[in-house]
Amino acid sequence: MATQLPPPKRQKSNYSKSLLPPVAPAPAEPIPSVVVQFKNAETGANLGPAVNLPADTGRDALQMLVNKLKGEDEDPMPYAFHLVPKGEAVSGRVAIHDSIQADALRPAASSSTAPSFSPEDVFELWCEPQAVFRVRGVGRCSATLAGHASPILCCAQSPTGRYAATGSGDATARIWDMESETPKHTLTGHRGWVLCVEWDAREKLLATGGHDGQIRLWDPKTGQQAGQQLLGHTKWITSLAFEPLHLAKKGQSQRLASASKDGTIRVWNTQTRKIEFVLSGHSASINVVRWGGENVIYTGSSDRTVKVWSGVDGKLIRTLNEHAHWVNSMTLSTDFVLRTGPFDHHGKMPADDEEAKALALARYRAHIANQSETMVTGSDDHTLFLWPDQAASSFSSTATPKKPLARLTGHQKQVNHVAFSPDGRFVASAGFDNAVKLWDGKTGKFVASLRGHVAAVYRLAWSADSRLLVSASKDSTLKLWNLKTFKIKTDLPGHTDEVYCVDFVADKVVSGGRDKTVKIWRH
Amino acid sequence: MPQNDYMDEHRRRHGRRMDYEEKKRKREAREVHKSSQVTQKMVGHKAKLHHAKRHAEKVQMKKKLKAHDERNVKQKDDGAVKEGALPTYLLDREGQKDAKALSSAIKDRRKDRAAKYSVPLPKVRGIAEEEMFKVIKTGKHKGKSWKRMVNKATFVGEGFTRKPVKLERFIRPMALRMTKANVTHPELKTTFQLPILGVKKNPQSPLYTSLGVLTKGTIVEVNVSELGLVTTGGKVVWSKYAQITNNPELDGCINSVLLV
Repeated sequence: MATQLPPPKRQKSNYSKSLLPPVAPAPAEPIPSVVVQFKNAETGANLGPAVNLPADTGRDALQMLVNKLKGEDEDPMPYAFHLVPKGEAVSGRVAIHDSIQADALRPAASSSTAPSFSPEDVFELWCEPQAVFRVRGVGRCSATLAGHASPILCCAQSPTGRYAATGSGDATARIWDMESETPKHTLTGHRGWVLCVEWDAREKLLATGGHDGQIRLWDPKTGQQAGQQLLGHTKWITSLAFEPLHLAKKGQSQRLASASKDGTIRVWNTQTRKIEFVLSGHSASINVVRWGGENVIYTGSSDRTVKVWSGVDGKLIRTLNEHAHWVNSMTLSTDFVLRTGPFDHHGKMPADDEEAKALALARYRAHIANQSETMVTGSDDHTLFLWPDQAASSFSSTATPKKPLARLTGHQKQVNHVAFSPDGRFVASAGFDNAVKLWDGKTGKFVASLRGHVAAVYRLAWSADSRLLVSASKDSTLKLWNLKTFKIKTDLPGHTDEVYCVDFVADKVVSGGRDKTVKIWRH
Repeated sequence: MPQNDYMDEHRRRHGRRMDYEEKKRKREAREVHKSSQVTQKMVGHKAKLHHAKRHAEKVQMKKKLKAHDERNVKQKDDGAVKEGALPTYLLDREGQKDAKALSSAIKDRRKDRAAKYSVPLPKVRGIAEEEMFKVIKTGKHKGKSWKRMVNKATFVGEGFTRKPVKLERFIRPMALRMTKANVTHPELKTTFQLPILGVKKNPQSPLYTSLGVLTKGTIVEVNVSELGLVTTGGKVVWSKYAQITNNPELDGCINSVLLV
């Protein structure tokens, strides 16, 4: 890296221009009226006839109109709107935050890059329903929890957000109570660094995988180990995945898949702690394992392949080799719904296993109703691939599941982490090139680049309503991103060294890193 | 010198002598006695060299024996966990390390408050003015001597323009101007060549500080942006101080230690 001079004080950039107070508009300018055709972004169908509107109609008014057109007056839904510019040369979309007038006809900032619209066009306004709840953005560090004697390598909040678990280089994992923000249990037993922690969907079991190749199961209520450790892997554990709750056999708890550096995946029965089957076939370290909602297991490996396995008998379904280098990270569009299982934003607790399973199944069905389970993989070859549904397509003869839907290029260095938003509309990817990039979850089109970190971005976490994204970086900060302007919403400094892990559940963010402290961030 | 491999060829055709193995074993068994006799009889410089060689051989042998002894003994696992924990996504990238370790070492050090203002070279040799400056005689009859030339290496800022000759009291020769310093990190024992940004303090005199004279013990500000250090606020660290440890005017380069 060549020596760089610091930027001059007053940079004549679009960003600094956008910081200037807006120039008062000429009052005499008439408001044009535009023809707007509302379109449903999920189905692509028209919503009612085209309507003639003044161009400065606000977003709230547009939202009301859409609800009226859909006949949902009683229970109005919030919507996000965007325009897709015409012509093949222009990519991207124009999001409407205030009104068509403000965002499309007269874009205030970066006028040179924004595609031009004229009031004579018919505006095809794509409507996407947003979550009916809103997660408050985090803004302050409410607790700094010391206790670990070594860097914190992984953290995960429980599906309800009641507990958080962290794994550290001092061979312990700790459970923290998120309501009182106090330590709850210290889980000692591992003989090496605790590299990954994973909660089951009912919050009854915590699995930790260590550098010693062992997996241990813990009861989060008592902090005691649930039976003996799971032995079998010869090298360290890289990733853990629980079977989705709705797939668990009657009367049995969820199975656990563990991926290891030794190139095998082992599927464990968490009650008997026996190996059900071993998936071998990869020739190098497996970096990530995911258990999909259709009972298939996806694995990404350093041997440049992604493999799809049956969760029933452990047979290999297919191998996807498109990547040119290590596959580092993988995300499913159903990640969030599978992870949270029966718990939704109402905060109801299921009474028993059967009810929980039914709730989880209902949530999963509702989620895949408008988007089947797609997968995005990020790799060391600086690209990502969007893959079609691997499970359902095995029943149809026309599908080509080995062919990726899209190749997502743009990162200039290795991609370290990818994450689907909970509603499956966006994919965020973090790379070693200091950038977080946002992609359309259905088509794989590039949406925006979120720049602001000054060092590699390690981890990402979405809020449950898909409106916020938080990123953890080597530059010792977390950054909360505004997904309307694609700029930093809140900078969260406080860690004194690299931040290795972050998780966002409910309205709290947990982060941990090399400075050995766990920080809890909240509104 | 053997021409071609006729010995091998012969061996291949006819085999070895019948007592080859036997003789070889005996020769090897006799070897220690023979070498002992030779060693005992040897005198002088030759003996000295021979003993040194034997000593080194014996050390190697003992080490090897010890290693073999340890190989088969089951040791009790002391349960020690390795230092330097890394998350899974960085585990295989150990070769791609950079100056980041530097940053944490600096932070650890900073906790030690007493060390904050200590420098590696607390005392320096006083430098007389005669050594520092050469008097330049000026005037038609060379009767005036108000002009000085700096004899030591100097750092001159980028935008510096010399004053008119008539007004210039201190001359800083081009040949002794330095722009880069070799900066060593004391804990990592790694050295980087970094651009100098300025002279923070020359312990000899404030005048030398303002002139930018680089002598042993001078604190200079160096540009560490390419090391990729960050502050807790997530900003890139732009400059740090370093202390010069050599005599730049004698060596032609600047060696320095980063102050952490």
